[in-house]
Amino acid sequence: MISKGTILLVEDNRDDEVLTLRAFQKNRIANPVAVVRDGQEALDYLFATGSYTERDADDLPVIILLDLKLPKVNGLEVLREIRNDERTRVIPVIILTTSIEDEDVIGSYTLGANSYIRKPVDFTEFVEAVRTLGNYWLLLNTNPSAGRR
Amino acid sequence: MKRRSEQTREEQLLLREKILGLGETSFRKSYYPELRIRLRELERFRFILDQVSVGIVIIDPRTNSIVDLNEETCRLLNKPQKELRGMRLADCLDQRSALNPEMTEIENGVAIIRDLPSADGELRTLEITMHHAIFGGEEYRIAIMRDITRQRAAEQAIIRTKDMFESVIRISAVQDAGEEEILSAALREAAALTESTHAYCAILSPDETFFTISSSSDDIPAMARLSPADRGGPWEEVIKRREPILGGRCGGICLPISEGDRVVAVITLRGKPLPYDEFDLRVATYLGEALWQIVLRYRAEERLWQLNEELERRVMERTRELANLNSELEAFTYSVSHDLRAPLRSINGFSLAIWEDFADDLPEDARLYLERIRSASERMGTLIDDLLLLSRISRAELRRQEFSLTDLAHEVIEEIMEQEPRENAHVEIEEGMVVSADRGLMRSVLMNLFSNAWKFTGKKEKTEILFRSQKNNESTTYCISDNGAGFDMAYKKKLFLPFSRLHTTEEFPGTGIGLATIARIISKHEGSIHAEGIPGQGATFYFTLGSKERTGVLQ
Amino acid sequence: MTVDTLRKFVMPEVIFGEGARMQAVRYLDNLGVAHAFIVTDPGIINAGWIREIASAAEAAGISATIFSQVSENPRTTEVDAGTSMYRENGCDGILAIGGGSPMDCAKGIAILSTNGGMIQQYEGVDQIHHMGPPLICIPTTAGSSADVSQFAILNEQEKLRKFGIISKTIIPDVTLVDPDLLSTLPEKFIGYCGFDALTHAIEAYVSTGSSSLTDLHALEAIRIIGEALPVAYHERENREAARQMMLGSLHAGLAFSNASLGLVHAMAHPLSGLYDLPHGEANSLLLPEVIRYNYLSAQARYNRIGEILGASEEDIQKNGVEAIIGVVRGLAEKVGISGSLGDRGVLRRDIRTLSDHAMVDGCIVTNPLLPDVEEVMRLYEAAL
Repeated sequence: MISKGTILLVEDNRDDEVLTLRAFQKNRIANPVAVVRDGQEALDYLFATGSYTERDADDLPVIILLDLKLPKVNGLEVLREIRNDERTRVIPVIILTTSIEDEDVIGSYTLGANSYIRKPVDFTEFVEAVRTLGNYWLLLNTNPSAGRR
Repeated sequence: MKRRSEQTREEQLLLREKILGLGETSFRKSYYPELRIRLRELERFRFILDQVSVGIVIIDPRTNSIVDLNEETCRLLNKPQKELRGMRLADCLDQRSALNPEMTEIENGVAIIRDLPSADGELRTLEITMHHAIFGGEEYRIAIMRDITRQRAAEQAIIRTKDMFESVIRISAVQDAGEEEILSAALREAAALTESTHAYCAILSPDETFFTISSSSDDIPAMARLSPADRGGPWEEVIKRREPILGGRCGGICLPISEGDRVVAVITLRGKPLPYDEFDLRVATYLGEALWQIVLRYRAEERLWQLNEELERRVMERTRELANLNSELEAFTYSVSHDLRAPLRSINGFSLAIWEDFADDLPEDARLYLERIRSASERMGTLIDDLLLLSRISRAELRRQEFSLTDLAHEVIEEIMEQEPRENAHVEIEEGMVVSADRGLMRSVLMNLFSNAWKFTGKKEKTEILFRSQKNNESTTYCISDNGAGFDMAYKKKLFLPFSRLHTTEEFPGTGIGLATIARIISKHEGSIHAEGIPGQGATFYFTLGSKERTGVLQ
Repeated sequence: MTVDTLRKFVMPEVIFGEGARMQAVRYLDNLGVAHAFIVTDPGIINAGWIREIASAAEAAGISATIFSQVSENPRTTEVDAGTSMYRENGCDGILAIGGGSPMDCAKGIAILSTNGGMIQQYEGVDQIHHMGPPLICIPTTAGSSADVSQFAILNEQEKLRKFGIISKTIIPDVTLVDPDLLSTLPEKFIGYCGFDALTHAIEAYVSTGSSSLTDLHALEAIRIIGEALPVAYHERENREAARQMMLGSLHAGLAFSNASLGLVHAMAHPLSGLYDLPHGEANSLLLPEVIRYNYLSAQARYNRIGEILGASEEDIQKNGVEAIIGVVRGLAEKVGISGSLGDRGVLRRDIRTLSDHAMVDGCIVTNPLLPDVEEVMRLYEAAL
């Protein structure tokens, strides 16, 4: 059974946002997607703070796609906050980034990222990666509690 | 008979003469000639005794008074014979001497009497030994006095010379001290050696307008340490005359220290209880020279130290700059990896989107262009990745470990063959090649070289790849040869430069960065790499990994 | 030769008279003697004279060491022993008390103490180069005259000979002639000694070294002895006779010490050496023969002697030398001297040896007539 929960996409690059959404579409991932532009906004969304105070804090995304290089609060910081908070700590976080720097990869996993996808230049490859991802996290790990390792 | 009797007669006449008391010795029937002879002998002996440079005094032990003495005694005690006779020896000696008046203290021993004033005003040192003697049934004491002033002076000179050298050594050993402290220590030594209460060193400024004064004690306030050089007085005089002043107006010793023709400093010693003598001057001169040498050495060291400081500061500055550059480079690399790729992805992604969504509306040419845009963006992506790899390798730390190069080669070639299977391929890898190198980096090297070999043999009927080692002297050379496209040896130097390619991308795909990366890795291993090739017949790559011993040493 | 015209007279400081001996201490002190070496013989010690003088010296702060191992004819070995003792005790002056023997021995010790060596090496005339220590003599016999003479006669026993040392250096500094001491001498010795002194005077008078100064003493000695000797011999208690003998002996000594002697002594010395014959006895036995031999060489002088000894002018005119010999013999007989050398054990076979010794004896050179050895032999034979 496919979860119909919200997918939170944290992405400051509008091109990438469009392409990512396209990849979802290509893979027939119909979940609602919430897009935020920077790290602070991502945290505000998740904890219903700032401009998202009116949002229901209990309505958490089933999956978070997190870019690392973000304005204001960077991706690793966001990941740390997510993992430090009781409410969000079990949400699968997939790092979606252009960086293949060791410190980013290792930092992400250390802070509790569930998966690390490097955005390929070739869109076809990207679609393929999203497909695998979607299959795995949305089909097999629908139960958030089971999403924790 | 008659002859004999005549001869006898001669003898008899002689005999008769003697008997009558007219013989040669018969006229001496008096004690006086004999006494005179004895007296003369005594006078002669007395004369001899008066010539010796040892004072001889005969003392009556009952009264301790002088019974007899020789001339030298008069000279040594600086009193006439008449006065000395009947005096007690202790009374003749200077009252300052700690001689027991009864003379019993030095009985049969040696007494040293110092600083006894003599006629010429100099101070003498006497050595007195006492002896017992009995003559004419009377007991006497005999005092033997020697003037050991010179001997003492010589001994003193030796001791002072020794002290002087020790002082110099002590001064030279002063460490972790400033010039002022060194000067002060040296001056204290000079004062001690010459029994002076004060020692000063006035260093003339290079423009000869003022003195910088140091003292053996802390009696000069900091403000007074600078003094104009044109105030007159002994210092200026010494500088003018370029020779030392002993006593006189300077009341001690003033001596110049010169460097070539120029007087650079003046040393002053004062406050010795006794007058300064030539020896003091010699000590002061020697010590002054030594002091100056030490000051010069100190200054040279100081300069050297400052240069070192400067150098170190510069090195640190450069290091910091380098570190900045490094982090800038890292930032650049990061941004390349992140930021350059993002637009590429957009180009690629949207080209594909157009293709997918509007392919039918596009003319054939447009579709072809789109295709080209996509492949160009992909190639650029690869290029960026390869560049990143090269930069990562450059920054990476080398982690040597021993491992089987043979095994790694098998692993790599299998991977390649799996990705791009090919029939008619013969790959031969030498058994038992073990190296001490960074396994991860070596994997890149082999991957690259084997990929190349695989790639360039792709157009051959049969692929032949050979990996083996050659041992020569201390190092081992590894060779990977193939029977592929090869290359013109004229370009062999361009082979390992980044972005240089010998074949078109159409012929053989590649970024031209692989060999540059390999060269960087080999160079990090302190090895070398070169290649040989014949166009159309194949290429061989040779590389070494530096000797194990050297690595061992480095570790 | 000027030598013949020169004469010399040397004598010690002399004190004559009873008690003169007690001046010894004063003289020791004057001469700077602090430790006196007293040379004497046991007889003198027994008589008590030494004790008397020694204690007086001690009282004056002068120590004394006594040496009395002296034979009748003093031996070289005794001189050596005395010298050792003198040195060991740190003595600085000699006091000789006794007859000729202790005085000659004392002279020997004096010589060795300043000159060293063996006493034999000073044999002969004028062989001593260094003055000896102060020497004071107190004679106890009237005969030897060693107390005033330059002679010392010593006995070298190993070679059975006597030898003479003649030197002005051994003339004593002081002689204290004290008639008191004479009383101790045995009777026989008074005769011999008296005759010895007489011989000294006679030989000095006829000596070729005589002078008017010596003649004075010689003649006075002959006169005094000729008169006093028989009295002194027979009257032992006659103080005046003894006194005269001492005086006569002193005169004889002064005479012969300066004029020297003659053939009698030259011939007597070997006899004493070979037979240990008392010197005075040998003299008395030889004197007549020598007078006979010399007579013509010194006729006037012998005649004068004869006259003094009691020979009448006529006797002399008539008998010549025999008159002289007669009075001499008569005097000898009065003091118990008679007989010949043969009676005293002198052997004919020794005459050659005796003569050879006599020929080199110093005394022979002033004899009025210089004999050759055969003549000396004949004289011995005549006296045999």
